[in-house]
Amino acid sequence: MTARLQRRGVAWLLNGTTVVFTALVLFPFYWLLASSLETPDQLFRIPAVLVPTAPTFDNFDRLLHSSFPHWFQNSAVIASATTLLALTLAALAAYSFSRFTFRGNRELTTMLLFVQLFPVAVVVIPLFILWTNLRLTNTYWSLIVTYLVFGLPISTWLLIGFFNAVPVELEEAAMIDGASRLGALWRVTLPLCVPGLAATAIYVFLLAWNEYFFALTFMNSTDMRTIPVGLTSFFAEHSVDWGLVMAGSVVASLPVVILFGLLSRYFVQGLTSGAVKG
Amino acid sequence: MIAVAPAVPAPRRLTYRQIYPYLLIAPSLTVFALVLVYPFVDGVRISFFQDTLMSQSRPFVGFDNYRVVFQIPQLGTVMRVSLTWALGSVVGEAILGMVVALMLNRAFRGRGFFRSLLVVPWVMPAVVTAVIWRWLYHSEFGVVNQVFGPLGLFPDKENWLGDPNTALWAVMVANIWRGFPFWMIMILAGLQAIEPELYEAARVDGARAWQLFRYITLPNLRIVLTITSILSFVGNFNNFTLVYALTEGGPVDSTKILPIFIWETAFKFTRFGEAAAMATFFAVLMAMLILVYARTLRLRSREV
Repeated sequence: MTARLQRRGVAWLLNGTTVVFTALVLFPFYWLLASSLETPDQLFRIPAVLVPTAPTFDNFDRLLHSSFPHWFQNSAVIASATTLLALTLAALAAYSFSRFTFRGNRELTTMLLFVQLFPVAVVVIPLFILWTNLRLTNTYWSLIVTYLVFGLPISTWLLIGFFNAVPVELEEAAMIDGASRLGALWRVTLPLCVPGLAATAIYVFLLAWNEYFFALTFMNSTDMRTIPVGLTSFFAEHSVDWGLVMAGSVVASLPVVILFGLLSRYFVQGLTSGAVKG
Repeated sequence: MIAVAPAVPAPRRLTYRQIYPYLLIAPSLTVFALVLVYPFVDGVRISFFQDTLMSQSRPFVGFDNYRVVFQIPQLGTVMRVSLTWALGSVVGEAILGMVVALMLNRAFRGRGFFRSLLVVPWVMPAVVTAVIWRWLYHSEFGVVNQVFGPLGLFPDKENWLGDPNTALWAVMVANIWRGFPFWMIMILAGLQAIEPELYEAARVDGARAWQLFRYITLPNLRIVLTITSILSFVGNFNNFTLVYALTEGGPVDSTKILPIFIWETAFKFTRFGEAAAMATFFAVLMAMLILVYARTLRLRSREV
């Protein structure tokens, strides 16, 4: 009896710790949101106020009249195009890896795992020179193509897993009915993998949406900045407009929160699949 | 015995069926060749030339760039900061990730929900993380000082990111907060693969909680922990964004990790040849780690 009570007590203690810990981990996000709703004089108060007393969308309004909407558009176009291209190329490659035995199949899929370990500082200099020679710096393409190479491996890995789960017999039936191979992939296999495709798309989209290093290097003109580069450029000003930076960060986080909230389960699976499946 | 006829090489012609699988992977391979393989090779080439981007002539200088780079007095500091940064981050993330994974590996309501919430710091844009922590660390109005102040700690309003003595540690704390979910998820996946019977048998034998952890959990997590350590170390060693967005490598080089140093050499001081030499050296370091990773993966597929 006492042992059971004791075990229950421990369980409650651990559950309580989990809740408190989670709250602590999420506090910085709450603080970002709360700060974005405050005017400058409310922001610079000691002691800081935990709940905004007079929340205002003032900062967001000013954000609309800065270069930010332009940066948002750049980020949205680049991330969407990267996603679309990565999914198309990865679907073709994953289909090949999943359905055919050919020389190099195993070696190539294993090599995909190593791309995520590739030091970006090593390729950034030659890539910058390449884009400069091709007159592609300050264009969407320089980033789309660069992000593609980092989005493709994980997409291909995830899609191989999803395709393997679809019985080949279904495709064969479609092909007997006159569909071509790619027709069978398009009409039979892909529709069955929609949740997997969505998760993969979100993965690539967020990768491109969050990226900073290459965007900072390839986009020199103010107009071509992506959101992350734009946000840090606020800190280069003589005095930092904190309200504006906070509001911008909230907007930058919105797509991430929404997309992650929709498919966090698949996302977490994807995170471990590359390394754990080996 | 059957006489083996001398092999007559049949005229081999590739059929459409045989090249079909390669056609499907060709577009992806083209992208890899253009954006990964070519730049990598070109980077090594550039490291043997005197290249300042602006100059018209780029003479071949052999190993001169390497000689110059290894004589830069700053490089010692940069390597020390880089190693402290990567090792400190890995250890911090690993410990926190392990504790949280063990907490979440119990059966309770809302487990999946908490797991998703705790992954959020990891999926957020690194630049947003930097904005938040810059604000939390603000010397005048930051939450950190407002919490420490009343507790009697650091009464003189510490400027966390602006003081060379604290900057690296302050950035590391933000990084651990951002990076521990990766460890948590990996360890959780590893924990779920351990047979519950092992624990039951040990409990019947009277094992205590820490003994279960020491003799069942840890040994069974060995490979997951090795793989995650390597991924995490390489990831942190390659990090640029969080550190650069928080401190730009300053104050006085106290957070100048290797990727920032390489990037500045190339894009701030336009010394491309020297930067490429450093990058090549960096690639060799990484390649050695990646070899260890490859061996671990092979080891594991043999055990399974």
